[in-house]
Amino acid sequence: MKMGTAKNMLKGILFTIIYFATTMVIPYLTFTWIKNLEVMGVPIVMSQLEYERILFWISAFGLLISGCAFFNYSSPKQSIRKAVFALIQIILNSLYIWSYKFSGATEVHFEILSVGALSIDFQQMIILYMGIYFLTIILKGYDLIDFTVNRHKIREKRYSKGGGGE
Amino acid sequence: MRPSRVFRWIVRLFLLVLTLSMTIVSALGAMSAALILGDPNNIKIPSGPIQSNFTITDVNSMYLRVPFNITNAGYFDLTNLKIDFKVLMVYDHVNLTTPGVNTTTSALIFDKSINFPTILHKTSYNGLFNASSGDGFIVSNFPNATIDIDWTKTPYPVEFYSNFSLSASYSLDLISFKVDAFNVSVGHLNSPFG
Repeated sequence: MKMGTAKNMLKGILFTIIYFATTMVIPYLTFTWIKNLEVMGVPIVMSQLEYERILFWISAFGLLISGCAFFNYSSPKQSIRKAVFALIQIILNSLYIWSYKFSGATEVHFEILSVGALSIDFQQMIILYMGIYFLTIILKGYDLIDFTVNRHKIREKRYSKGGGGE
Repeated sequence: MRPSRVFRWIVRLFLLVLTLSMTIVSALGAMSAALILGDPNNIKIPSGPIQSNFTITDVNSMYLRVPFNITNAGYFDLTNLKIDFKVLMVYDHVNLTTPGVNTTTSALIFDKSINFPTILHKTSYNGLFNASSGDGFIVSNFPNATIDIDWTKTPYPVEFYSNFSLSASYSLDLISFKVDAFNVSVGHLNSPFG
């Protein structure tokens, strides 16, 4: 195995771990913490069904994003493969953020035992994130076109450096 | 470096700044939520005794005063603070469906929302939800005190319960929350005539 390839594999694994932590572990811990929160001194109850639905969508997209992150970050720089996986990953990221909305996670309702209810709405924040992801999709699309059109120039430069795997 | 790469780096830098700003706002917003909602002393409704006069035979003398205290322990200002108060009157309605049979009935007799000023971060606000001179009272929903209400009911012929909600926004209005409380006893009537 070439040195560059090993380095890329390591980079892929590292980013898979980072994405796994940010898209699955942190949201899981956050929602589990919210589930056990106390408001006005009274425990709040998030319905088990709602909690499981949110975690299902987070896990589903989180796994896909983490998988894509490996292929994206282990691909050589400025390669068409990298551009394709980066584009797929950012689309999945958008769907992941969007899943917060359709799984009900943007408008979370809790029952405050024997007192009332609490609802938290962060739809505006999700919409703003969607805007950032939309711009990123354009950038990744631009990358794909750029890497495809200039592939000969990129390859020449890559091989003149003698890397091959970079 | 190819010009296309320079353009790409400029856009990428712009996106990085946007993403970082959003991440910081999200993180501080989540921490604010934890700080505000985590301490029972931060949202106190009522923070003292509720003052009310529900003498339904004299609408102009009716009032409802609910003191409250909110401490904004978060990192952002608490905006769009609104309190919505509803009062239900529960009584036994005489001859509602069957002659000689009293049916426990509830009527919405008060509904009012009040917007309060922005609470700056790390400050407390002592407010008063104040409705007087019949303000907010829905007279058309009042039962006829003479013929509709069974005044012999024990322990109280008429009881008043409130459903109230407090809503506000924080994190630059990106996150909003609402706290609802149901069936909070706010008073009772023995007889409006004595």
